[in-house]
Amino acid sequence: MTLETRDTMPTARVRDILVLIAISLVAFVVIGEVTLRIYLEYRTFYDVEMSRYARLLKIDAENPRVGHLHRPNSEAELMDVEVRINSDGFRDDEIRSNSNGTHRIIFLGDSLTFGWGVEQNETFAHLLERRLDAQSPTEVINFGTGNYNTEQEVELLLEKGLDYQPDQVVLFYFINDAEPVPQKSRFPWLGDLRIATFYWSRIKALAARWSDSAGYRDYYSALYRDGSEGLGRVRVALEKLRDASMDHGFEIQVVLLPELHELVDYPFRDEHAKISRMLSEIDIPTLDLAPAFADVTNPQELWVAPDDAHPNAKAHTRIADSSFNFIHGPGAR
Amino acid sequence: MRKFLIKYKWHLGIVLAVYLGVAIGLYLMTESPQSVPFLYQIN
Repeated sequence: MTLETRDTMPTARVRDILVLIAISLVAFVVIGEVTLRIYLEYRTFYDVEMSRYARLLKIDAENPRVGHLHRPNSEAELMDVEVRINSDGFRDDEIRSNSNGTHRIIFLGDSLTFGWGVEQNETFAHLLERRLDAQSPTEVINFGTGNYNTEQEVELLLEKGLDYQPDQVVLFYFINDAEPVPQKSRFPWLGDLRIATFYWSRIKALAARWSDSAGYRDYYSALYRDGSEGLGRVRVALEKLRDASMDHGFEIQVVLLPELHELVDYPFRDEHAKISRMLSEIDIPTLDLAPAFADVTNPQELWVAPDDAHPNAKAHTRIADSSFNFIHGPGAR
Repeated sequence: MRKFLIKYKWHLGIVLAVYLGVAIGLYLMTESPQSVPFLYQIN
């Protein structure tokens, strides 16, 4: 394409081209942002909602091993669900300082335990609390925080959880918990631009489709290769958790949550076996929930949304049903 | 600026149409069940 111009000076033409590019970029960002925001009034995008979660409900933690925390007393509507963070920074009701003889359990975990995409009263933490409390007075405190790995979960327990004097701690482990501690974005303000989030995540998704190694299967499997740094950090964190349980006298258990893409022929059996062996060596009772989901032929019926494989309310109910006996079992009380 | 915009209105329109086409193409090509790991979206 050639520019129709009466300028004969090449520098003037170059200047015009640069100005044209600048104007078109600004116009595109403004028009795209406004259009996307109008469209988002009628639809939710997982990636945009995650970005909003980070901007609205998270703050930096002083402890770099914890990384980030929930902003106390904050709230937002995410994935069309109301999310309220209490004054202690948890998605839970206000917690009494004293348990008054009630059996107190802390649930550690990431966005799955947090209950991403489901109402608070539909989370497995809430469902299990109700069922356990019906057996004997029990209080579950949900420490679930999005984007946490095992190291962060254990550090959060050591930093804040011990003050609650728990009788029992249950860590809900997910396949991505062997990831490194996530780094803060260098351009956090970009999270406020819907169009930036859209392009960033969609280009990543497209790259994953064209790449042989960027899909979820290869990505998660790579975290569990022998000698991987992430797996070593998981082990150190779990050993810390076991030591804390001995020092402070609380029971610990780990529940392995299934990845919800393929459940009949579960592709992460080896990875679950590896983490189960590690937990056995550290002497932490473990329940693998993947077999409890092996009859699900259409995994997407358990997803929060087509673009979001987090467990929906139906999956949370199944998690609660399948882990109740283990958490309530004699070894735990 | 007004003179500039009038002079290059067709160029500007074509460039914006290309940007729009890329955005719509990207949307359509990635509008499928999640196939990537959960993203890091921290702060």
